[in-house]
Amino acid sequence: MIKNTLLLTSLVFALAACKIESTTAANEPAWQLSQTSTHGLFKVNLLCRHSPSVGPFQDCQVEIQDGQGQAINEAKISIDGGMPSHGHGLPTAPVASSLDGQGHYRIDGLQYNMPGPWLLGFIIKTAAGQDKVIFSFEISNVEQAACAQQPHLPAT
Amino acid sequence: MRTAAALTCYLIISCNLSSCADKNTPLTNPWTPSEWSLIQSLSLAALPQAADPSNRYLNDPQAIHLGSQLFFDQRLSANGQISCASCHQPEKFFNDGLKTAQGIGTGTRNTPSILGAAWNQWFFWDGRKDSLWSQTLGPLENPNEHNLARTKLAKLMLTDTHYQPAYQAIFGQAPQADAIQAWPEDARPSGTIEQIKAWKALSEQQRLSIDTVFANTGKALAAYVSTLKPVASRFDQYVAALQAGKTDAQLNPSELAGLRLFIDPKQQCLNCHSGPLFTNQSFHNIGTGEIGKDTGRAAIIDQIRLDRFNCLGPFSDAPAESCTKLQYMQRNRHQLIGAYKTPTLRNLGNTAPYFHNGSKQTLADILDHYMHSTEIKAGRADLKPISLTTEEKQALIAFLNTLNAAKP
Repeated sequence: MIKNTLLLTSLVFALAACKIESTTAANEPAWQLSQTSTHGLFKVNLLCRHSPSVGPFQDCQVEIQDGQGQAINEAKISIDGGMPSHGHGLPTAPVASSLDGQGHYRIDGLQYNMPGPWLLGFIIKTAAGQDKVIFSFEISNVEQAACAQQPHLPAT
Repeated sequence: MRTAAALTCYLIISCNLSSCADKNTPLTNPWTPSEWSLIQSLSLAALPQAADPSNRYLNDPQAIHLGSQLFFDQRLSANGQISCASCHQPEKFFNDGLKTAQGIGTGTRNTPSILGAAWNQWFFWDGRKDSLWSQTLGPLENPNEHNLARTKLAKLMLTDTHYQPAYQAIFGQAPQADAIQAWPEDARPSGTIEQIKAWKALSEQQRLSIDTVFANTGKALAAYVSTLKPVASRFDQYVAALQAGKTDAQLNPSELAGLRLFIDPKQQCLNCHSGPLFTNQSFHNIGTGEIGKDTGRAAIIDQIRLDRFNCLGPFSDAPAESCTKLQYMQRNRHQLIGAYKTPTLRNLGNTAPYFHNGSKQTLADILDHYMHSTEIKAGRADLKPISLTTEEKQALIAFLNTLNAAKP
């Protein structure tokens, strides 16, 4: 009975996580990370429609502000990343392009090909200078597998 | 809508847990919810429909029928003795059992099984093609495979009493008989000097007409190959039985121990061999590349971009904005040196030898490579050495053999 209850609870939580992501609009990200750039020039928010996952192209944006919280609109952004623990980079070459003139940049072509610890870095160039920010996060294959299919409960 | 779907799933879960289960059926599942999610994600039942927006004939029954005839037709070769089935032999799981492919000449790469090829993202070991129809064109012209002149193929498709009406019924308008007759027998954009000269002597319109027939032939071949799917294996039957709360499709203790090792992050198997086809469709360096001889994906980046038959080319049926994998593919050669496409593990025990160059004969040889490769130990590969006892090796091999299935 206790085992059943625990199983049910864990699966309901997993299901809830999937549901939240699938009903969230692009401008209400289900997953986000925020960080100040290495030399403090920019505050960068990485906003994604879903938690990072192996396989599909990711639906993400970056939002860039200066130290006073003002939107940066004309930045040139380069994207790189990879899995240092595996010695390889991103499987694709994503690009960022200005989206709305309010400091948001759309990311196209971002993909991950393995579960595990990833780095995703942005080099940001503006008239005020250049700085970089590197986000660090983990992709869980368990969560991905749970969200990718109909939930079948293991018989006990 | 999604909330309703989630609620339905919740009810299914509750149902399975309690009253709806057949109380007479013994329910035994040795896996935790996390493990069970991973295991189910590997089941063939989780495979979605294959799709290729660049080939509008993919599911056309007439194209499938034409493709099936072309696949076995030895006239599609310079010497009249080689067909697609020469290497992709149905009785050998569409494999040839050879170290490297043997067509008109001897190739440098191991022939992959094409069961499930329609689900690939990239084609060939180095992924130098971005669609199945475009892939089929490569061997037709490869000097070591069919070595067929493009004009010879186009003439066959448009003049053969059987192929001509089938072609016209599927693809519509074709060049007039006098236009076809004016094409030389032996012209192609790559090949001998004489063949290239003959190709260059054609007008731009003639080359476009011939290339259109060439591409359509590939689309018909792809339509047939897309019907070749792996059959459910004992592993899939085991998952299906557990999902149904039954115990009529068990794996033995050694196979179960192997499955447990396979999904254990320590062994790193699932990093690349994920999903229902046991491949992440990506490119990785596992220490098998040969500098100066075969550098894998790093060597063919420009070839993909400049391919007239890619997703962005004039013969693709896909809108340009849908060609995302081509537009954003990784072009950094340094990252891709020695990287090859992760192969499927389905029917692994029936498709030896292994790796891009056929250098490993047995599943034990493969595991030994992952345990002892000097390239992996030196940190020049995308993974770390794995560690397995003799018993664990045997268990992992036992599990891998549960992915063998009947011929389709």
